[in-house]
Amino acid sequence: MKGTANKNSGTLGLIVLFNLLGFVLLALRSLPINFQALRLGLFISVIYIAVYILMKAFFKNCNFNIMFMIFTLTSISFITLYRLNADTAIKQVQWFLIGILVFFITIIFIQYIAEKLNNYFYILAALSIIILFSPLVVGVTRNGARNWIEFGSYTFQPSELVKILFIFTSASLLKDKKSIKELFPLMAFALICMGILMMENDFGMMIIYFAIFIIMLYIGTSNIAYILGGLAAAASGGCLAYLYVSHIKVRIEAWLNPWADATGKGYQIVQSLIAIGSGGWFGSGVGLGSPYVIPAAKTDFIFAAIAEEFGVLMALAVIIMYLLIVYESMKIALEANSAFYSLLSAGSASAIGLQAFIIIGGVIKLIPLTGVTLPFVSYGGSSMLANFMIVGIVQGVASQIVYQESVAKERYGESY
Amino acid sequence: MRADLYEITSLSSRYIFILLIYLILYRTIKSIRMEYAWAEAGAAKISVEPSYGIISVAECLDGVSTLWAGMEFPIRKWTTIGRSSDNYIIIDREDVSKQHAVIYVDETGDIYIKDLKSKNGTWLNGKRIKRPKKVRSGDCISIGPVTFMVKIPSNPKIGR
Repeated sequence: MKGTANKNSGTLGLIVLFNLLGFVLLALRSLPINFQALRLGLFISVIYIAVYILMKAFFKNCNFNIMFMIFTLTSISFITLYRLNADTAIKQVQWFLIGILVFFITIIFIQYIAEKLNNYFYILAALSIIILFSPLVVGVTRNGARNWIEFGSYTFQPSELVKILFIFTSASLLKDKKSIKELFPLMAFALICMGILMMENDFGMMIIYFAIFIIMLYIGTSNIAYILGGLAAAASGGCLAYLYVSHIKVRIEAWLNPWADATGKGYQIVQSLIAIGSGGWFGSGVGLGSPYVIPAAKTDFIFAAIAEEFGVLMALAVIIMYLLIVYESMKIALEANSAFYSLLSAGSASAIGLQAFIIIGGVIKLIPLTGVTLPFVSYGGSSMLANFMIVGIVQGVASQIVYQESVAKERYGESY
Repeated sequence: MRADLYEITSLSSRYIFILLIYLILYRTIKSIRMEYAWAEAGAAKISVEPSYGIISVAECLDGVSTLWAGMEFPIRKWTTIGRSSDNYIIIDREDVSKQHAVIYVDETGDIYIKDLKSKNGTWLNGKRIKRPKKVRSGDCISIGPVTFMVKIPSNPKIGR
């Protein structure tokens, strides 16, 4: 880390250049030059630099590679959103600012407080279930899923935030329990969570919770039987859902052959595939494509909009960025000092990786489509906050590693 | 800007976008590789640190998540044992003190065990120790739920 520290700023420069180029293009699109776009582009660049300086000063043990990947992803997101709708992009930048604040708070929380919380499995579990259940009582239905809560003009999605509590809860029990009998409360907890998500018709989140649970179970116990059992349960659950839940059947049929009903059930996937195809390797150029025809282009299908205007090469780069985030987080999990921190970081890494895989896979017709957000790229406040918390957890664990090493060195000298 | 002029600008700048993004990725991956090289250099440094013998877990009662019977650790110049996670050997049980005991090597190469004023004590061959005691090959050290067996090579140069 020490050797590369002074070269980091070069990467930041490239990111700022990328961001400015995008917003300059957007400003020149129509004849009276759009100064709002220029100002927004400059403002975002200043935030990136400010966050970088802040982290260098106060959180220097954090992993900067993950930060740069997040900056790049959000920059692509802001450019695409501004091209689609200026107001949406400005709102997203506001959420980004709040997200950064949440991110720093999470790092501090993980570094100094989290370990004291790791014995309250039942309290954490009860809290998760209550929050997850709340949309069924006071929530509103959107796109067929009853998973939103309204606060005045703001809406938020509890399942995004409970995902983090879910990782915490699982880690708090898995850190020192190994046998199937001891793990029973955790399995019951995971089943209840997935049951609630099923009642809310939020199948994308259900898959993510399930996969996080199986991955953490495997990391915590090193027992391959859980993975095999999990896969068997998922396969049988999938078959049952296909047979008995009508709209899952529709989704799978739309995935197998979207062209059969291209104006109806397959409409979203067909539009997304046409958009990606029309962009080609290098894209149609910012402002020259027609991303408006893609349904939900700001949220679930933003990947198709990026692929259309920036090209498939950029889309591949986006996938590589998620891979790098997951890789670095898993590396941090391997280096972490205690099982609890290790599980936290591994669970967070799988949350981001899985969510990106599920929505990108759905958009490019690799797997059946389930509506979840693309981390850091899709428009949405709860998603932005949740993902910043997740990355904050990973960075908190990273800082903890170096912090504990320095304590040990102080106490026992260099020979430790 | 005129529509055709904008088209030319946008079409040419898409190559710059791709170039920039892959430069960012290249630099990030390079930085990850360099960290890896640093970590490897660090690991090499640790492995050349002399080992004075082996301490193995002979018996381990249930409920210790960090240890199991048969585990072996090299004896370092300072081998710390305790509950808190900054120890060399961690025993994650309430009846073990945070900094419980330390096995250390003095200037002459003899190995000693010292109790760090632990609450429930450190036991060498069934006797609770008060002062630092010399450890010989085959000795048993009991701390809380765990019993360790010490193996020290008779020729002290071996294993160093």
